[in-house]
Amino acid sequence: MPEKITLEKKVLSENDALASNLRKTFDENNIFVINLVSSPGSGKTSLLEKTLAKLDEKFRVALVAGDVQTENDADRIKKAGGTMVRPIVTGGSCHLDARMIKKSIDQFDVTNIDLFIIENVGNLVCPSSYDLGEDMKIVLISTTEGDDKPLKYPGMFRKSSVMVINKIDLLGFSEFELKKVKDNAHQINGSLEIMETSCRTGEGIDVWVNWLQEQVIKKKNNSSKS
Amino acid sequence: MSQEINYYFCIVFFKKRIEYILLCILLVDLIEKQNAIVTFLLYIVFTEVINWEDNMHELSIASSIVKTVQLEIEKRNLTSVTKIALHVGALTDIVPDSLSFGFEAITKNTNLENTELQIEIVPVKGVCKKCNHNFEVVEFVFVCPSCSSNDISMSQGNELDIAYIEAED
Repeated sequence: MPEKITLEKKVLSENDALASNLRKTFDENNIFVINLVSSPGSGKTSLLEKTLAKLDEKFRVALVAGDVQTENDADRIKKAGGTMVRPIVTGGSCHLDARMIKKSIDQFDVTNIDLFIIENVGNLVCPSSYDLGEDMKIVLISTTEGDDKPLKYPGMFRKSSVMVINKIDLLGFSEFELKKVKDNAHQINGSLEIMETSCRTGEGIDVWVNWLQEQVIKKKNNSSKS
Repeated sequence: MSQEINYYFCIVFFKKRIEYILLCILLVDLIEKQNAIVTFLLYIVFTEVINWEDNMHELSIASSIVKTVQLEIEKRNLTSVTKIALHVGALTDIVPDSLSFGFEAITKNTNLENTELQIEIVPVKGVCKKCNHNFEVVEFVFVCPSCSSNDISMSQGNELDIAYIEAED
């Protein structure tokens, strides 16, 4: 007769433990950390290129870009500014995990970073399960995708703090409806903040970059008080 | 999740194919009495490389489950595990069929080959922050049925837990 053994153990407890260690390191060093997620082709790398070009030079930025096979994304971002950039080639894995982040953060001087950007692998399913110690998940969606995407991937949209709608200049060229995507997203996550950008025309980039800078400053101020 | 499972399937499938082809060549070489040693070395190198590849991708959900259970087997000195009961929150976007498929693929020819993976989906429940109403979130609509607020905190639905295992000493 088999015996029943109660475990109540989180499957990803190892990742969660590593992530909470990372979070501690980030907090101790007042680093604001974002985990940027989207489907493939929504424009993560383009948005980061634009962001780094506009970001005030006083902010010290470090970035890791996850790619399944190449270092192309990291190379593109390197060309965009003087940011410290490290590629992570996952070699087939569809998400970044806390161990990969730990490994790459060890190559940076954490006392010399204000903003740490994690560009996750293009995928809205697996990355939602893996905590990377970030302050916020930011989900990017573009107007060339379906406006029902939040309903298809509720986990990711529920866990994100901000939704950036990219390729806003292409609005009207597809069936994508702005109001619908916002309603769908707010149905999943009522407190989701929404911004609109176009990396091609530059529309909305200032709003996004200003918001990002505010968050970095907020984290600095919060930590100095405590 | 399904992408990951597909990846696993490809590796397992692909690996077996190449292994068989190499074994066939080896057999022919042995019959023809030529180059057998070269093919044999090639076979050894290939299987080594593949095993190393597998280690690199152990961080999928399925292999995390296997890893956790193997640790328990070691810790508790169990002879066999007949069942693993999982609690999977509906908001994890995990497809049970894909997870079962991945579990089967990676436990083939191991001590967990005949272990049943039982997946129980935990429905999403929410608590309204305005009126404290407790309710089940149907079809991911996070809106309070009592006061229509969308300021909802989640009380369950994000689980990815091994609830229990059934084992023999």
